[in-house]
Amino acid sequence: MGRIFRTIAAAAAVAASACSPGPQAGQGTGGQGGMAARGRPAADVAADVAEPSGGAPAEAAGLAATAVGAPSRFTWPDRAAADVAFKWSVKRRVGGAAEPRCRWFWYMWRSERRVETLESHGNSGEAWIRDSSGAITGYERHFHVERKTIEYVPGDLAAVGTSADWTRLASVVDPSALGRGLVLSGRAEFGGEPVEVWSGESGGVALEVGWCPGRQLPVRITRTKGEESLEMELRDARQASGAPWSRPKSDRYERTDFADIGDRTTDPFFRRLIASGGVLGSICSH
Amino acid sequence: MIRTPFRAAVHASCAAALLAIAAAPAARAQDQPIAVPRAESRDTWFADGQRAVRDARKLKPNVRKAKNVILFVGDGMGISTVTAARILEAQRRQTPASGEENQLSFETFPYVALSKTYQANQQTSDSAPTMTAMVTGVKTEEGVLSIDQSVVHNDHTSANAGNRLKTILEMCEEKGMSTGVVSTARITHATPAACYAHTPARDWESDKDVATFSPAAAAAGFPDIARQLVEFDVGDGLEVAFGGGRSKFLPSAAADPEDDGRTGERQDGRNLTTEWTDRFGEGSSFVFDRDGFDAIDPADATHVLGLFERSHMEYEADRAGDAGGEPSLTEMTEKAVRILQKNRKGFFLHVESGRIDHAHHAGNAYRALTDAIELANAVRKAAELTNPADTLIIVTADHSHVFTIAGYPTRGNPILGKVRGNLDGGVVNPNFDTDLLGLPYTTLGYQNGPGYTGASNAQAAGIKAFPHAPSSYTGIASGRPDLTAVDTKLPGFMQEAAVPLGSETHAGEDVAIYATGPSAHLFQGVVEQNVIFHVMADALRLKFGAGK
Ligand SMILES: [Zn+2]
Repeated sequence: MGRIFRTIAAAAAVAASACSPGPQAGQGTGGQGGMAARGRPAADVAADVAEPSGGAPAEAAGLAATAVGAPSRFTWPDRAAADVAFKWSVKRRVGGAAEPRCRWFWYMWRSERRVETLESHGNSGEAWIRDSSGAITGYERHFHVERKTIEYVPGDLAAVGTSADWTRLASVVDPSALGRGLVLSGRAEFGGEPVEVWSGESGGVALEVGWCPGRQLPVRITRTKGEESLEMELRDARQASGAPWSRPKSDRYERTDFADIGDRTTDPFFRRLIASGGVLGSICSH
Repeated sequence: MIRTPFRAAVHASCAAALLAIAAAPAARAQDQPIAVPRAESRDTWFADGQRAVRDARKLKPNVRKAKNVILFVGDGMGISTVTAARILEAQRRQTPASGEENQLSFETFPYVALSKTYQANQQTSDSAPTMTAMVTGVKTEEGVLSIDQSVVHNDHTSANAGNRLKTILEMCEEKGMSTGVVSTARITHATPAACYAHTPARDWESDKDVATFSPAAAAAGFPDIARQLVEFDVGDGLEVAFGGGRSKFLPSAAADPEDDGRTGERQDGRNLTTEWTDRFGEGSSFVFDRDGFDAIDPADATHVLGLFERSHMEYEADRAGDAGGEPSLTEMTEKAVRILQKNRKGFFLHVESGRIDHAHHAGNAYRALTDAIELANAVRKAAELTNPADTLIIVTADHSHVFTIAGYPTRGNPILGKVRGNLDGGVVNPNFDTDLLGLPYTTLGYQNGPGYTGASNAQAAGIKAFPHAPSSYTGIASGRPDLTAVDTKLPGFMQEAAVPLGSETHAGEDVAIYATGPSAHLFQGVVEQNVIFHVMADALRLKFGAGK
């Protein structure tokens, strides 16, 4: 099983911390977990990246078709809508309980030039921006309680060893990763749109992704490891201007260039961030 | 890299991408030591030593009055940064050399002293008081620009004519000389700003910043740093200002001329770039990109404002990818010198390599060293364009960083690589040196910062992936990451750090002062950082009245 499972494995800490109250000022965002490299030596990860797609266990395949379903009255917004707002519910279950241990919402706004997200019970969100040529020109972290935005320019992102791909950003998951790490195990429908169900298991972690190719978006992701499961389901999708939930007005926040944070030692917020490893931290440390 | 609640199925991590590249066989070959460029023997070492003494004996102090002064500051360029940069410069040549024997341009200057960088209330300092010390001759407090230590940080009511410090740039303007500031950071950033602005908070770069950090100062109309640059009224104003920070000069209603969809940030509606050209009239200009920069004819230009990015300019390592194109530090320095040289009374120029500091804060030695090498290029160009008989050139740093060169790598070992030492018998170890866990380690590293590899609440021990946003670390429980197959010389590699901090920090040890030209010989021994001003003043024969 390939990278996709490694990334899911990285979510374990996220699931746990997601049930805790939102982070306090200056404590970073808490639980915005890691990705592929979690806990594994470098050479091992490198091998993963090149690993061809693996197979999924047969039992995983049967689950899919019934697991994906749109909420009643769900409708997709017009395909031509330029700015779309999505809302997912997230539930964490332990020990197979019907009632989730905790639940919250996760929001995304997607337009031609900007993808923005917000975690409902957290303090933070983020946005990626691209220009008319398609080049990614900015990344922002938002701290809504403190009303602060940290801006990264492409050079900052490069300095901390990262690059971004717009398709992946706008689609939440990397569509090409599905076929590499999972197998197509079923088909379903969500709000009238065909959905592919991809699933598999690796290292005791079962994963299932309901993928809507027509909207280039997952409608459901379920990850199960042992007693614990985390489930993310699309609950609503609207033209942004008509959505009952509104985008935070982060453009009015105090904006700080990422490169300046190390020198903002007289500001208590940044002093705490530096000490906590918060946002700026280790953006891509090795 | 959107952060889903899962963090699942989300995109290839930068670490994975990095490692995939690193696993290529070619990367391993590049880890081999680089040859020494000449045959060395006891004779060559001995002769070199003798020559150095002969050269030193020939040195004659230049006691003439200086016509021009150029003050180069590598922001955060501690001595370990200079050493690593000199090695990297040689190792990057078309015909690579081992590098230890190399000298950066300013390392050939005849006079060197050490500068103590502590300030009035800081053991380890930031750029504001350190640059204030260098350009006013007086140490002051953290975050303060060119006001003495009686001021209260961030309190505009405590700033007054009595505690304002006159800067060397202002003194030169008063003498009718030309003046300029050049930086790869925002031109309103602490280091260049200390030359022309007086403010109790370095963060007050635009009127929006003043309102954010001190509504009282904003209500009182305390001028922001960008405004102080454009309204600078000593002499005939600055002749040259090249750098970043365009958004500090443009109103929020104005579209940025380079970055599609972006605007200025000023809330007062003022467009300081047009105010610049309105004020200075014929011969003045505002430029924001490579084309505009290239179009400046130094022969005609009188007052030039060049702001090439909304915020800081690109790292030198990334400059080629900039949308509008932007000049290098060397090109800006050359253009500035050519413009300022027209004044027969001479000039004062400050040039800052502002992003060595930023790359170190990010834990990225590749960019810090690349910028340091570019600073050396700019110094070489300035030296070529001026006469050492009448021009004092000083190269120094405001403070250091917690950046180290460790282990016992063999001669010519790639400075960005992993340590490979010598075995008994003097032969080069075919394998990397290893720590007590059996793992290789890099020559370069940081004492603290984001490169810490311990487990956090968000990611396990080992290599981290962007964007890593922990709220806590639980420490290193199971050793270090295995770097055997990792190409640590790649631009995105972040060196390991011993102490987990979100941003690597400045360091408190002394930095070097390299000097040539009139009065350069006055740099002797270990000096307080504010002595730099007094040497420049001596070179220019500045006289101080009661107002000082
Ligand atoms: Zn700094």
